[in-house]
Amino acid sequence: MHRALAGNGSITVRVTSLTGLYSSSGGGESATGGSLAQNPTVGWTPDVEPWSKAGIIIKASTKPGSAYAAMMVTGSHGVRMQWNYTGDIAGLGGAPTTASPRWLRLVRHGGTIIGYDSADGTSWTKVGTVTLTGLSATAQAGLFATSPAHNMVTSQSAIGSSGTGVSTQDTGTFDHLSLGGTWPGGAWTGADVGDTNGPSGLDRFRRIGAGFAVSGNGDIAPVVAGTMGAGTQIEYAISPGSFAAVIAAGVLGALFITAEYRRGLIRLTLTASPRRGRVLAAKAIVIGAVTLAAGITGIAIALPVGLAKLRDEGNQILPVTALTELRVIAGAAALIAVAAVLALAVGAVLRRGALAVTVVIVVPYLLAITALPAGAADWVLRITPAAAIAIEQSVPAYPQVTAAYTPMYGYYPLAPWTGFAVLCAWTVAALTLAAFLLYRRDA
Amino acid sequence: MSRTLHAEWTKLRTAGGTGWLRLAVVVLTAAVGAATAASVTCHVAGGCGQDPAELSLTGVYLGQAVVAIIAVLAISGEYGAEMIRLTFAAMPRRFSVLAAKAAVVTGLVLVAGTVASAGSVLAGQLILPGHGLAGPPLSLGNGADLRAALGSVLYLALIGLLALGVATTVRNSAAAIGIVLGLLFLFPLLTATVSAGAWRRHLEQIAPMTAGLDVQATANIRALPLTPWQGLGVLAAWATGTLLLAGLTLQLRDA
Repeated sequence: MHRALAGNGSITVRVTSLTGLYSSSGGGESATGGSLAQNPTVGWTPDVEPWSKAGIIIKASTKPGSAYAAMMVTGSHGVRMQWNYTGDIAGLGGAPTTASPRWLRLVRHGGTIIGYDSADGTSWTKVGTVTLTGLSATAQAGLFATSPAHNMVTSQSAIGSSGTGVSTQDTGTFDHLSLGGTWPGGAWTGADVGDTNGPSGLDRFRRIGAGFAVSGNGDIAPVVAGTMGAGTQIEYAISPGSFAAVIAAGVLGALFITAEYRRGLIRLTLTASPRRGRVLAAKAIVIGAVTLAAGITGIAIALPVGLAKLRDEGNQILPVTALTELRVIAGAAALIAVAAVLALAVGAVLRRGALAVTVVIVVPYLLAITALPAGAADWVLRITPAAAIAIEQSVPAYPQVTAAYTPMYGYYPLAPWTGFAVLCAWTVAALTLAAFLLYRRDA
Repeated sequence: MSRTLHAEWTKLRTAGGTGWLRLAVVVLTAAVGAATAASVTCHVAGGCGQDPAELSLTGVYLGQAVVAIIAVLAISGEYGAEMIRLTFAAMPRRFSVLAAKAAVVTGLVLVAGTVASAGSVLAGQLILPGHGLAGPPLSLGNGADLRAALGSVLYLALIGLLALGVATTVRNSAAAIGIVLGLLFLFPLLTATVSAGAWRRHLEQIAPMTAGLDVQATANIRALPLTPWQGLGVLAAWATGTLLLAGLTLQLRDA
C-alpha cells in the first residue's frame, strides 16, 4: 500500500509480527506469484522464509526497477535497511513479536534517505544513509511485504533437476503508523508491484483496528542467475569454449615435456643446456606465453559472438562493468595459460604422466560442475586447482537474495582472484617439485 | 584368437596401476554415490520428484573417468613403450588384437562396474530412507531400479570401449584422455548455453554421456529426450563408431 510523498518527509511504523506460509505443492519449477493466481486452492503450511521482508519503503515510483530505500523486518535476518536492490545494512537483530516489537523510520531530505530502527519507539538508532539518484520531488511511500520462493538445492547433476522451489507468502502486522511532511492525496492504495502474472486475487492489505496487515510474495531484489533467477551471466557465452581450451592447453603442456622423455630427446636437451632449472623455466615461459596469446585471442572473439547469440535467443544478460568484463576475458585466458604450465610441471614430475596431468586439471572441475552435491563441490572448488574457475564469475552472490548459488549456476565459493591464486599456488608448488626432481634424477 | 586374448589379458593384468585403477572405479563410484545420497534433502510433503536410483548411481560420473584411464592405458602404454611393434610382429592380424583388447577391457570393466554399481545401490538403500523422498524405496526387485543398476554397468563398459577406440586412433595417452573427457563433459556445458528447445533436445540426444546416462532414470521418464535403452544405444553407437575408426587406422597405418 502506498501514498504520494511530496518533498521532504518521514514515515514511522511499529511492526508487531511477521508470519509466513509455504505452499505445500512441491516439485516443479521455481514458484512465482503466478502460481498463486493459477491455483488459489493450493494448501499452505505456516513457516517464515528467512528473507521474507515487511516494512516501509520510499520509492521513485511503483514501477519495478525504480530507485528505492526501505527499512524492514525479515524472517530470520533481523532488521535491515536495503536500497536500490543490491544495498543491504543490518540493523537490530531478532524477529518482531507483540512483546518485543520493532520500530522502523525512514526520513527523506531531497535525494537522501536515512533509515532508523528502535526497539521501543523512543530511543532511535541510525542504520544507514543512502543517496538515491532519480528520486523526483514526489515519490511513493508506504508499507510493503515480500516473500521469495523457498528454494531447496536437492542435488546436482549434468542432466538437470537440481532444485525445487515452492511459493511462499508473508504477512507483516503494523500499527502506530505516523507520517511527517506533505502527503497529498487522501487514502492508502493497495497494489501488487511487479506482478507479471496479473492480479493475484490475494488479500494484499487489510485494516486491523488502527493498524494494517500487509501480505505479499516475490522479492524486491536484483535478478540473479540459476533456477530461481532469470538472468544469464556473460561468462556463459564462453564457458564451453574456454573449458575445451583448458583441456587442450593441459594436453599441450603435458606433451611439451613428456614427449621429450618418450623420444629420449630430453637427454639431448639437457646435454645442450645443462642448467636444468633454466630449461624448465624456459619451457614454462614458452608454453605459458603461447597459450595466453591463443586464449586472449579466442576469448576476445568468442565473448561478443556468444553474447550476441544468447541475446538473440532471448536471454537477459546480467549487466557488468567494463572492468569486470575485462577481468573475465583476461582471467579466462590466464586460466588457460596457467593450466598449461601446471600440466607441464606435473608432466615433468611424473614424466609419463600425461594421463595423470589431464586428470589433475580436468576432473575436479568436471565433478564440481556436473555431479557432486553442492557442499562437496564447494570444497573441491576451494582447494583443488579447479578453484581458478572463479575468475570467470562476473556477478556476485547476494547474501540477501535467496537463490541457488551453486557452481552449476556459475557461483563459486572463492572470490575471483583468490580462486585464481589457488591455481597459481599449485602451479608454483608443482614447478618447484619438478625443478628439484629434474636436478636429482637422471634424465 | 584365444591366444591373442590370453596375451592381451596378461598385458592388461600385469600393467602397472591396473589393480589400483580397478579399485578406484569401485571405491570412487560408491563413495560419490553415498555422498550424494547423504546430501539429499526434501522439505516438501509428497517428495521433490527426486530419482533414488539416479541419485545413488551419481558416482558413475567419476567412475567413468577412471574407466577411461584404464582403457586408454591398455593401448597407449604399448605405443609409449613401442611394444606395439612387437605385438603386431607376434600377432599380425591387427583387427584381432583390437578385438582381444576390447574383450579384456570390457571384461575387466564389467566386473569392476558390477561391484561399483552394487555398492552404490547398497549405499543408497542404507542412506536414502529418512531423507524425505517419496515413492517406493530403492530395490533391485523393482524393474526400473534393476535396469538403472545394470544399465550403469553397461554404460561403464561402453565408456571403456569408446576410450579404447579413441586411444587406438590417436595413440598418445594425454591426447586420448583429453578427447574422451571432452566428448563426455563438453556436451552438457554446450547444452546449458543453448536455449532453443529443439536444439537442446537434439544435443541431449546425441551427447554420449547425457544420452547414455538416461539409462539410470527411474522417475519422470517421459520428460527424457530418449527412452533409457535408446540412450544407452546412442552411447553404444559412439563406442562402435570409434572402434571402427580405430580398426581402420590400425590397418592403414604403420605401427
